[in-house]
Amino acid sequence: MRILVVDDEPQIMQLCVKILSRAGHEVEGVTRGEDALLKLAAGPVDLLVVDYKMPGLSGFEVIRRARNFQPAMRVIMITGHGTREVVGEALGGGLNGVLVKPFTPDELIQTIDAASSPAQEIS
Amino acid sequence: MDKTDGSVRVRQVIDRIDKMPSLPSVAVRILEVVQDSKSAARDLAEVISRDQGCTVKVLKLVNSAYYSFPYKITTVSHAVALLGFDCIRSLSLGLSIFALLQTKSEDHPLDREKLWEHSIGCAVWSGLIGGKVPQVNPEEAFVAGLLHDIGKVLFNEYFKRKMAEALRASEINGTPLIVAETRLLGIDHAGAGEIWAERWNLPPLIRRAIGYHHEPLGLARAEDENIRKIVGIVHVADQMTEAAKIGSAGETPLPALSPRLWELLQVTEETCWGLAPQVAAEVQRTRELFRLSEEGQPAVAGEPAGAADSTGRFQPVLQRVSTLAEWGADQEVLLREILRESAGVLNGAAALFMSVGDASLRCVASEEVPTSLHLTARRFFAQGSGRAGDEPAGPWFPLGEGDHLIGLLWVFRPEPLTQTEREFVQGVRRELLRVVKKMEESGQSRWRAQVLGQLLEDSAAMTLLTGLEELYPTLVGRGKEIARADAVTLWLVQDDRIVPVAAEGLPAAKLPRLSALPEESWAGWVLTSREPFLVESLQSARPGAERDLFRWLGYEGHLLLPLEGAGKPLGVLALHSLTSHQWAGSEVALLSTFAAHAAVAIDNALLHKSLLDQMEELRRAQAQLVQSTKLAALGELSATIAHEVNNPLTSVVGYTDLLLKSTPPDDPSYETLKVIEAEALRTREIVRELLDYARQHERSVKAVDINDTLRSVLSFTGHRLVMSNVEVRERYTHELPPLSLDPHQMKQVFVNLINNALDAMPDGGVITVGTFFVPGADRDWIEATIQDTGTGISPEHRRRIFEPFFTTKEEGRGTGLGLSVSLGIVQNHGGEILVESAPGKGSVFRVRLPVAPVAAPVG
Repeated sequence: MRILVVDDEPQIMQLCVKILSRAGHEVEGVTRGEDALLKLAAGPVDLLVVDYKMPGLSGFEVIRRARNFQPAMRVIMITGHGTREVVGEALGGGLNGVLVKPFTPDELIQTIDAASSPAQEIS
Repeated sequence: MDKTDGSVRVRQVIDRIDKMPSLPSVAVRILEVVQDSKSAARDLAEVISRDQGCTVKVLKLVNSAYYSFPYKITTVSHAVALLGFDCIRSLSLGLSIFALLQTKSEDHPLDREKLWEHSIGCAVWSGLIGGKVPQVNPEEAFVAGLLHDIGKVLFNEYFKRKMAEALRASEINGTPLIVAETRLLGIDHAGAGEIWAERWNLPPLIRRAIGYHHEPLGLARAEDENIRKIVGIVHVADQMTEAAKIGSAGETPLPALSPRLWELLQVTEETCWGLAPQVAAEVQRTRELFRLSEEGQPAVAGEPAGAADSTGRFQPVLQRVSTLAEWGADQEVLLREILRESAGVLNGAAALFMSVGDASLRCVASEEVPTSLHLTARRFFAQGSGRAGDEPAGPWFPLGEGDHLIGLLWVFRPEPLTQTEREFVQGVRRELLRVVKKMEESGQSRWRAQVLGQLLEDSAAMTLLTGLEELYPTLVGRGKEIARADAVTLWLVQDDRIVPVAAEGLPAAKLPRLSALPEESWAGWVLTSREPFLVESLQSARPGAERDLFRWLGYEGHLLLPLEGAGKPLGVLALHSLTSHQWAGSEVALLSTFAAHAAVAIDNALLHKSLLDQMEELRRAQAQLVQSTKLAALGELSATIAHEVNNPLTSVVGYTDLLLKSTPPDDPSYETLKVIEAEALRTREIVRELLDYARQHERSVKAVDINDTLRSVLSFTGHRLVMSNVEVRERYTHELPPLSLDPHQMKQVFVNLINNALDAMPDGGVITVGTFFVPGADRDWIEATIQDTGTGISPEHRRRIFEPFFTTKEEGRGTGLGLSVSLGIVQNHGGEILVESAPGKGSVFRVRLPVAPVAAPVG
């Protein structure tokens, strides 16, 4: 899959890129929501892994705008411990997976795999 | 008349007067009491009281029909207070002087006894007339009448021959006595008397009465009106007394009395004559007064002691004894007097033994009695009741009341007593009983005073006894001592029953609870009426539960006293007597005081206890509050830290994993990397729990059946339970009301508790999970308990287990947050967690949650 990772923390962004590359995906990473949108506008992305809390554009904002030009894109949100909150908000926006920090690389892979199977939405 | 002769004779009289004994000391002192001083009344009372004879006479007189007070006046101060300084002064003066005039020798020209009677008659009549004349003090008239003829005493004693001559002349020739006296003696008895009164410094009224009682209208107009009136009264009384032949003063009454007298006195002659019957009666009574002479005069004038007429000589002694018994102030002295009189007239010895107040034996006797007598008396007392009603045994005469022996009279004489003599002794015995009873009363009042004093001290000490366990036994113990009862019981009100709390002298275990209804129990009646309840004997007692109870226990007499707390009745203090008992008013009053103090002490102690309880609760609530606050503060901090830590932690976890994936297991770094990974994961756990902890206030509440929650928790932890060789017992109460709670959080709590239980039983054991309904005062609770048979928690640890980060588990196992988080969750639901545990005995954790109306939607 073509995956875009967005996290304002470079280490985490790099980590995700590395893990996903090792897993055989085509991965790119950015640290700012605006840059993410640029990337998303430039070419097709199968899966977006985006951090919930970021300075500037928030994760949800990025998702909302990106849906305009990437309607089929799957989305996974990374978050600190506020699972329920995210889930609640997500029910409207529709997420394909939630990753709770700190996650292990295995958890990341599992979530990605789960998200990429067809017609999968968190309920 | 030969003037020179006359003046010589007068001088003789005057010389004689000057040689007369001085006024008795009491009279002198009475005269000295300064009328206008502030303490006049008190001084007068004191002066009189010091003279026994005077006291007795004054008291007898003031209690006579003259004054008809509704109650007896028993002390001189009382008399002074009621009748006034002047009145008592005159009376006491007159009485003390008059007593002096009873001289010893015989062969008087004027019969002493008759003169005496005449003087008394004149005194009484003057007093009665004085009562009818406006603005005159009857007492002053009385005294004036009493002393008016003292001049005759002088002549009778020291000028016998001349006096006899004068009397003869008066009788034969019909000359007025005063004329004859003047001729023979140079001065009449009025004049001589007045001079004598002057020597003695007696008040002007008395001097004038003595000097002018034959010519009252001869007093100058300038003289005080009061004096003129009283002298007039004495004149009238003197005449009437002679005419009525009350005694005799050797005078012939005038044929008529001047009409100007009636003008002066504003009464009629008829009125004065009309008093005659009253006078006769009063004279007899007043004579008694003067039987009591300090010098021990023979009872009847002229009759020597030991006369053959046996009845005759006892009667007066008995009368004297009776008067002493009634009026004597100093009881020791008068007892001795009575015994001496009695012994004297019988020519024997007499003694009186009494057991007064403090149960020792006292003896008063006419003379020294052998000690063997004391021992015999003691034996009689030891035999006690039953003797009082008996016929006297030999020389012993018991004094008693009903069954109660108060005293023992011993009368002894070598020859046996005659019937008359025995009757006399019985009479004396009656009188002594009167005195001894009075003494016992005053002895009792001394005892009462003593007890009251003790009571005051005690009640101060009692109110310090705040421990109820100490207080109740102390109260019944003291009550029994003070009341000298056979048993004492203490009952308190609890809800709507009366409950026995302590007993002294009978077994408390035998006492039942009583109804608080007044118609069902005596105690109930006492509580309602708030009055003492007296039972003399069970026969005559009101019906009530106690009647049967005490019939069975064997107590006849009872006194129940209400214990009044501040505003509401606390209970009843009851005193019991094995025999029937007449509760005296003074007894009830004293014991009511004790009961009042007891009630105060109990109220205090109960208040104290309630205060202590409240303080304890407050402390617990405070501790929990502090704990909660701490937890809350910690929670917030933790959340911040956790969030911050999460990011670097992600990197550490992630990169370490990557590293591990690219390192072969046999590489030396592999193990190191493994450790790093483990620690990083552990850090993740800690952070997760910290965040859980911080987020306790967020919950979504539903109506939940606690049993379902527990069942799901048990299935969740099921595999671990099986693996640990632990047996699970479920003890649910069915159909419990639903609870409003966050099921996710509550499951967390139970999982935590079950995990802890499992950790405490490394070698297996039993976990019992139960649910209960706990009704409470203002709300009900549901309790879920997790019990294990594990290692238990020591008391020091038990206090700290809910502290965050406190753990007894070894390094690497457990974060120490589990219980503090659980407690926080439960407290947020309005509940609490209670622990019972002991090392080696396992533990029970009770999670209590309030049952409240369900607000959240069921789901």
